[in-house]
Amino acid sequence: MSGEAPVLPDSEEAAADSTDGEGDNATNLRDWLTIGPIRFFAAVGIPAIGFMVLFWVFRFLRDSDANRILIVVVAIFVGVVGIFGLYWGMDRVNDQLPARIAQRVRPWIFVGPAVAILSLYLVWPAVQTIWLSFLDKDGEEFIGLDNYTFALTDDKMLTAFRNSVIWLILGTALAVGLGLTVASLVDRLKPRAEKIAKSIIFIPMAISFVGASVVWGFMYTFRAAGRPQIGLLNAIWTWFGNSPIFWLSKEPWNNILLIIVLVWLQTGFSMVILSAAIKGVPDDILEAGRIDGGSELQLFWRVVIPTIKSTLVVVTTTMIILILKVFDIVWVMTSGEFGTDVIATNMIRQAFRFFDDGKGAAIAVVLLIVVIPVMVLNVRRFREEEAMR
Amino acid sequence: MTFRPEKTWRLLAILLAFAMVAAACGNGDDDTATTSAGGDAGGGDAQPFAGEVVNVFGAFVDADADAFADTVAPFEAATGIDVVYEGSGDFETQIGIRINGGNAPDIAMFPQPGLWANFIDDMIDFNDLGVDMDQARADLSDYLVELPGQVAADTGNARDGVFGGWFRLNTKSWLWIPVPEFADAGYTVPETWDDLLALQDQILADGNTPWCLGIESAGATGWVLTDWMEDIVLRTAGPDVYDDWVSNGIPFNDPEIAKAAQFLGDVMFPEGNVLGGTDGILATPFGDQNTPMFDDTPACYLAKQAGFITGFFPDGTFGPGVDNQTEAIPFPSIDGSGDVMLGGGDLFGVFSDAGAVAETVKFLVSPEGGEGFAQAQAGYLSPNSRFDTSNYVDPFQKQQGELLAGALGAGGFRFDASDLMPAAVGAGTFWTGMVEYVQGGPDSLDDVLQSIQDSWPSS
Repeated sequence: MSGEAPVLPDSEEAAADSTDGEGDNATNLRDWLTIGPIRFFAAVGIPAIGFMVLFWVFRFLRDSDANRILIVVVAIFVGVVGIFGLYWGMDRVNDQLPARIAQRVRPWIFVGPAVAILSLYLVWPAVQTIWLSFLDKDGEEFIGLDNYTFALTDDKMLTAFRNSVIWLILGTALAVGLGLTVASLVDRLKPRAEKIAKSIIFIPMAISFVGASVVWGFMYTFRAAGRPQIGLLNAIWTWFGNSPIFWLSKEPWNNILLIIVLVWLQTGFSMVILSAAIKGVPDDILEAGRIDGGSELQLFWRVVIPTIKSTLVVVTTTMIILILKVFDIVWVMTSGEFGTDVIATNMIRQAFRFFDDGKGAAIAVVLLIVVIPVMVLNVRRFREEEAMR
Repeated sequence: MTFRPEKTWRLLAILLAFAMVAAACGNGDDDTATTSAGGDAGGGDAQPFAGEVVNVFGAFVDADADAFADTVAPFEAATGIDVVYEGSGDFETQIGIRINGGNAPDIAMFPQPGLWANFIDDMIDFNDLGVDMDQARADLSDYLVELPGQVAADTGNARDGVFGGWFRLNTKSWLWIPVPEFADAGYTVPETWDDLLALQDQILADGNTPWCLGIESAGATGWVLTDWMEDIVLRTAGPDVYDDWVSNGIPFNDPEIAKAAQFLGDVMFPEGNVLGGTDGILATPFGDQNTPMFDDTPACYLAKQAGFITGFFPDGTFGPGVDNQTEAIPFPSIDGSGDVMLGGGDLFGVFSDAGAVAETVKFLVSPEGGEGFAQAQAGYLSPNSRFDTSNYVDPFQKQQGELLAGALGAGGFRFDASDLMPAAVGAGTFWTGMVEYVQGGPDSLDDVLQSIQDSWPSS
């Protein structure tokens, strides 16, 4: 019998201990020695075997002269069924072990590979990027902080920082604000009307950033005076007798035109999440507020907003991270010309247009550093929200 | 807890299955190794390289890619080599990923010598491929022979040996006029820059718009104007100053370069001189630039663009079997400049020393290497002086071929400067600088040129 508080980090472990009912250290050590290697194999061995199988299949398919469609079908089959089979097989192996051990190993079979693969594909490249950021353009010589000096003083980077602030303030405010407004307004509609309204606003979410940018590029497009204006904005503008304007070249207003695209795309996202949160506001509290004579506006600000506060923070931080990383919209619509550069466009340009790995990596690290605090806040809020449930 | 016998058997069976999978992986490596080794040994006399594959990667796609297949078809039939071409519109990015990822093609065709020079350390020396270098040099003009080495040196990639072969050239120094409206309106073809300025005024006085000019090109916006600058510098300052400019021997804010930019300003900035004004310059895609010229009443009477622009013309306006509605005239000479021509081309590098690859390289640098391409695509011009010009089947192709041959012979052919400069300038600040010049107007010129000069990499 273990009288410890139930705050063990590994709930699986706690369950196993309580069923066994034995808690002396010698047993724990012996368990650890026997189960440890099995767990390690489960976490690292499965992806390793999976990779070997996939790599072999990849080599085989790449060198094969068979019909392309057949190859694709086989590849999908091997990829999906193969990995499923691998997990299933490992689970079956695990079943053969003594039940007590099997129970402790099982979570590692399923979660371990994901963690191992994430480390390989996320942590390692991040470390390498940080290392690259201290090297010259060919990644050969160590040049100290020169790349960071560039990243923090270059004209185009300063423009990018200015624009990021504009994006963060306007983009976040509009996407979250509109989402919240719509979410609380449709809440008062009849269910059927609410569904339709929400669907329409959510649809842009299904469009890729690049697709939306192309569409909106046409909205703002320019044709010389006297020729048919195919862009909506210029069509309206010239209808009032003005001469057409190439809106996307007018700094700094062009940034707002780009932000509108993001807002159009992302309002649906914040609306859906916030709408769910609003529906979770207990009716009896709202009723009580009404009985006490609160106006609907007062109820919104004093009851609804405080109740959904943590959701609001998660949506906002998600939006902030998305905006800090924004790239597609700018790249497609202006390529960063006319003072619309953002951090990511500078990064791509340095790394892949100018082949300056060092500067590209340094800008990537700057972006990473800017995103991390927001990410931490986001995760922390998300946990709080989960804990409340 | 005890192990039951049948459970143990099952465990063994499953483990055995894993072992077999692992063994299969090992076999996979062996198999591929033997196939490629066996290929070299096989083959008969008639087709010494039968069944061997040579992978070529380049920037041209669609019809050009088909034309490449045409051009290697006789070679394939003679040698049995299968030349597989893969083109990508995203070549500039992809080639670096492939080479650095250890997945280099056998041969890569680079539209920018500056990009080619970046990968020189991974390439095979033509001398080691058994190419007859004396003949290959004799077939090219001195400028083309020396250019790759010069670019490599300028970009800090100098390496002993020959690592680049010319596959095709194109020409850029062309103005386009509407026919017959141009002559009907009483305009004459401008021979000199002064003629051109006088013509502008005449067109303006008639209440017409002289120029169609559009530079929008997504991530590459700006190159249209760098072409303009290059054509003007080549004529106002001459080929030698042009070479100094390319290697930054003279700075970007040198008076010669500033003068060329002012010449360009005389076209871009006067009120009503360009369709749509400066907004029109920035907003109009380069491929749509000439389209207004095909209106019933031409919306403009002059446009400048390279020979390849014909591919962007609306159907039925230009080409074989069509009543041509537009015509190319040479970019006017300035201050008595002679036979000069701005152009570009594909420079290829080789990443494999296999026998079949060497054979392919020999074919590509030979006079016959581009014949099929020239017949299929009017955009093809051969760098080879022994090339049989009867393969130029299109009249405009012939016209380009003649001017190109003249300029090459006179030492007046120059490669697109922005493709020779370090990428940070040639594909970066030079492009964006030109955009800023359009936005900022004539007064912004000094700042623009200074900032381009400041961006020149120090190494």
